Amino acid sequence: MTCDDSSSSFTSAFTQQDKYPLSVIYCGNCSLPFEYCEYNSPEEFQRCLLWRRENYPELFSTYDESLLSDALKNVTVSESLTKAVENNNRSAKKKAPPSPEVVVTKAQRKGRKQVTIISGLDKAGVKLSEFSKVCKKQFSCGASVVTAPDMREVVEVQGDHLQETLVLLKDQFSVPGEYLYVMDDNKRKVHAF
Amino acid sequence: MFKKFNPQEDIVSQVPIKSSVQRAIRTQVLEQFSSIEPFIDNVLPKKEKWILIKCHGHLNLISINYGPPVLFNLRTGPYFPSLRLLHAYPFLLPRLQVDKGAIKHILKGADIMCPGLTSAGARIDEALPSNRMVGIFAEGKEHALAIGITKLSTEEIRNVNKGVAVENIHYLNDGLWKLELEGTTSLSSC
Repeated sequence: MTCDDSSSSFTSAFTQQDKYPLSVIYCGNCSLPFEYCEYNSPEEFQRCLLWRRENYPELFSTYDESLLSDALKNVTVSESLTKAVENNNRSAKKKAPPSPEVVVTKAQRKGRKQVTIISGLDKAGVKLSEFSKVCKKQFSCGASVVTAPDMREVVEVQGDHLQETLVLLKDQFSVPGEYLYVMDDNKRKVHAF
Repeated sequence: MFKKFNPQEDIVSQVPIKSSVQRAIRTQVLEQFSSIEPFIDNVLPKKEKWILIKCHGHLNLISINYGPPVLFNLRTGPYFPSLRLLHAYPFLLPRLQVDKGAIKHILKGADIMCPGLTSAGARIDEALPSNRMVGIFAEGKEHALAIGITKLSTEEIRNVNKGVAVENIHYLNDGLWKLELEGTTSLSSC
């Protein structure tokens, strides 16, 4: 697949105006055109080959077959799918725990003024605007929904209301205690309760 | 340029482009890539919404309808096509072909060295001056793997045969390539 000389396509490409734009098939695993899959890490390349065999069997040549490792050769499509899903699950578990995290942080504003920032509320099923409204009433302070630098929506409450917001979240908004985290001085997430 | 590109940190703003500015961009692109003229309406459709994505370092990306970026430039410099665009219209840029050994380094973002362009598997089909935008193709591969700027003229590349020949601007699987993936399933906008 990779060894043929491309010189023929080199010149003929310019004569056939009609065929543009060329539609290039990209690998669903690594997003590169197929011919560059082999430059991924060996494990990644195996996954690319599996993907190609499932989705574009007509482009899956015997040469590719010979590159596929023995362990995967006899795996049927459905098995490889489940394997891929398993792999995904495994990596997902390692990276991010599935349970929502509500993180409460304190931040300094101008001078000695502080704000309390609550992030991750949307994932815990709390409406941000509603929460900020309740905060305003309860703590008689300013509170608003703002977009954090990482483009996530967070609630910003003026003043230091760290403990109060935690209690409020737990009691009135029935967010389970194990979802609640506080950022400590070393910028590490710690369970609030 | 996009080796350490992090969309969350590096993108400053995304704004729709005024139609008068769109026209200016269109004429500039036509001027730069005259061969694209029959397809300009596919590449830069008039009716769609154009988005200017401003990034740190005076980098501007242009996307159609929040699709994958089609063009990018630095400050007010010339527009570079994105690799996806170059894949669809490979005649946009002059070709340089590198040998097989160079591919893996280019895919890691390395600049293209002279020997990679002068050895047996490589091809230099047309004479190019230095400081010219080029598409980097590879021995035995159909599609481009990088877009760069020549640092030496092709003549110098052949004669000197040492050091950096082409600066790597945009390569497969770099930050811009990956950015294009987000929220896109079809490539029709390219």
